[in-house]
Amino acid sequence: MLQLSIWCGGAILEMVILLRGFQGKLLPRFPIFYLYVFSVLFDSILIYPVYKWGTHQQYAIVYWTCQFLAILIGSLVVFEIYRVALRYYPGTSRMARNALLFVFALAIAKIFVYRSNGTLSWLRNAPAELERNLRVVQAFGILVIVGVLLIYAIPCGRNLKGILLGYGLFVGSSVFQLSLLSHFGDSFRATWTFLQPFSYLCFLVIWLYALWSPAPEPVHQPEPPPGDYSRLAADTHQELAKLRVGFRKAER
Amino acid sequence: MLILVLCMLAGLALVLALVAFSRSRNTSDCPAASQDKSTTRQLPRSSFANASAIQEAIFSREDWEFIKQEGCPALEELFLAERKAVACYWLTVTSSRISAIRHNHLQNSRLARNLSPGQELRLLGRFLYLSLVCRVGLLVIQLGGPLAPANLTAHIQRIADGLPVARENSFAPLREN
Repeated sequence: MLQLSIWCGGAILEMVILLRGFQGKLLPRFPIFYLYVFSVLFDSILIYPVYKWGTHQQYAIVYWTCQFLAILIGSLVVFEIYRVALRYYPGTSRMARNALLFVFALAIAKIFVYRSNGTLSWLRNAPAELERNLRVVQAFGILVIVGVLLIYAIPCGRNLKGILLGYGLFVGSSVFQLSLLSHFGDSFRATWTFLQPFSYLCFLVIWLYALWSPAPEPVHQPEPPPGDYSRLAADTHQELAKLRVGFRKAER
Repeated sequence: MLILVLCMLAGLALVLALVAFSRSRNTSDCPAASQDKSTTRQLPRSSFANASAIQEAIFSREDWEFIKQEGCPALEELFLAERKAVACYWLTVTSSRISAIRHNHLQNSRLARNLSPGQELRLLGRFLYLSLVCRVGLLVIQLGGPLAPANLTAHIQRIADGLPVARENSFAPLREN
């Protein structure tokens, strides 16, 4: 009964998010995010009948296939956040792109290290472990974006902030839950079966709140003339050099 | 167990970063940010020059040796207390200046098209290093008195001299702010 309530609640919230996005003309602004919500809604509708009437093996196949599709689209959501948040900040965008490439290069390197085991056999034998690893990669990708947004004080509108917070917290909680599931196995599975959909319900509420209506775009600074960065960096170096002279004087 | 801990740490780092992000406010409507800007304006070159004039003598042992010759414990105590206050002031001014330079740099560099990640990382290293130096300096003054940082600054300067320096030709004329 509780599971059915959570399932219904999640599906209703997803439908409301999609409806409000359509009404508020937010779909063209965040197309991949709404595609993600739609795909999760579609998965829920597909999964529940299999859970109710299918065998355990059928359910496991459908569940993990849908989960990995959701991870794939979720990774595209991370790139959409990066694209929307940093489109007026080419310099910061470049920093984030380099850092993201570094994170994904590390992830690919890790896949090559484990290649001898075979990714497909891993998917069959330990899907939770594979999902945990993919979520960790996503977590690092989101960390990079959040770090860049914080360090460079990039203004974000309520809508984008809500998408980032909701998805980031969802990925963070997934990392926690899947780590515990991989480590403790079946002893944690019963708790996880309720914890995972319930926590997702909470993140849907964050999205619903943030995307209830379209928020105004934050004010962005005008773009400086090209070629300005080297002079700016030189100015900063000079200022820091003066501080170094200060330390030298203190030494005397 | 190690994998569990590492994964948990990654998740925790993400959650903490998101909490910090949710608490941050946009620069355009943030009073704290505008205060930062006013701090930047309140630190004109003359203020830095004053601090620079102070710092020449602030950690000097000459005054202390002169006071010691007088043989008056009350005077020694007063001297040390005042020097401590002045030394803390100098480090606080320096620390504020580092923050102001960093804030100003980040505000402008985020808009630059040809931003260099390598250069940014080098500058970030310098900012962090100098901020750390100021904090350590304050700690040393609290623990060892106002004369203790003399040795520390000598050490710091040796390390600072080893840091990468901007090329001479990159020192273009200062932009009017």
